[in-house]
Amino acid sequence: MKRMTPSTWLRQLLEFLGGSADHPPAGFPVTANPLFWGVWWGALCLVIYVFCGQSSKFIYIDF
Amino acid sequence: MQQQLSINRRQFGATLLVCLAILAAGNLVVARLTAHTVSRRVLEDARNATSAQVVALGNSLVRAGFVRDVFLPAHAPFTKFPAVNLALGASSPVEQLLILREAFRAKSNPRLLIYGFYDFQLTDPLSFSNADIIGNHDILYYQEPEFARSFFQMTRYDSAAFEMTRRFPMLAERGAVWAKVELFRRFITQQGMPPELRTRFGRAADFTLLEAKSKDEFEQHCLQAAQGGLNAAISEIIREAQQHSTRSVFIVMPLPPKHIETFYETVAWSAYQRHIRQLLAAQGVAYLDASRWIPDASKFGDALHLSDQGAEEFSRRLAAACSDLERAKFCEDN
Repeated sequence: MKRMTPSTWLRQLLEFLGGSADHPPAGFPVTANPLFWGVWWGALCLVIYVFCGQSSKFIYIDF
Repeated sequence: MQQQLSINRRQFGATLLVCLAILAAGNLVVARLTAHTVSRRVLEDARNATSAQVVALGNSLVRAGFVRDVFLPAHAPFTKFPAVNLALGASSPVEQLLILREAFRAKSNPRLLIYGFYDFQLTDPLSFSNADIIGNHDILYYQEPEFARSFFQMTRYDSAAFEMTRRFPMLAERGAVWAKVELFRRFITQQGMPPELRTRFGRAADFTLLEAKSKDEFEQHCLQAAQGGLNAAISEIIREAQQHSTRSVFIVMPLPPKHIETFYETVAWSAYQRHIRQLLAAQGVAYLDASRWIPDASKFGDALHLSDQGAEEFSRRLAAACSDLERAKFCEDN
């Protein structure tokens, strides 16, 4: 059986946490704890919020 | 063997609640962190300007160009008439109207309103998309939003987005958060690069983008604008000033020689200027063309704004031009 490399494991983990894969990689503790997933998705929403202004016309920054 | 993650409806609802709680906390944090944004500080200045007899209003050209302490030297006739600079960078006449109204509401009763402008600020119709309302435009979300909405156009979609956005600080003040990220991004991209020329308002090169792309485009704009009247926000600024017995003088702000040569030394601009002069005269508003007052390009920080040295020179000359508030004829074009 082919052994999973750390980079593949990390990619699969990120895909799972990001919602693009249904299953976590082997060895990742699966939890259905709403607190964990609520904090995780809330944090992702905040990260998206903070970084989604790239297409805005930032002529005046310092005012 | 792959592990399965299955959650029931109740767990999903609880997850959603936790997520919403985090976003609500983020909303509170953003509201707290943006309690002293630039527009809020200018509004605070407007509330505190109760003794001001001279109010300067406009966008960043006035913010950079009007130096209160130079306009009011100790020996000048204005000594008894404190002035205040209520100009707001990156603002349209609607935001400026809101600031003036706040000053009037605070029982301020200035005798003179100095309104600085450039290009087509007085006549261009005002329209926004909700995405445009970032930075100092944020004042539109929280300062008399229902009143402000009657002075600018929006599509129905944007109008609905505006109504929703203004109720959530995280959305209304998104520009303040994005600006921090943008500044960080610029810091990263600057590593190992020659330093960019910056003024107090940001990257000097950015302000070239605010000028017309070509002389032809500018002349076309002149011809089109010379057919219309003052935009609604400007008319309201004049009306409210008159209602409070405040004399108004509208000033074409000093601009760099390149802008003058490229755009203002055209027949179309002269015709447009005559047009706005007539419109203002019809409403009893004085007009002053100061666009050529500072012919030295080194006294400008970028394509539009005066440097500190240029601002002092302009303010000194403006004080001399407007030195007598008592006489009917003041701030005449000279």
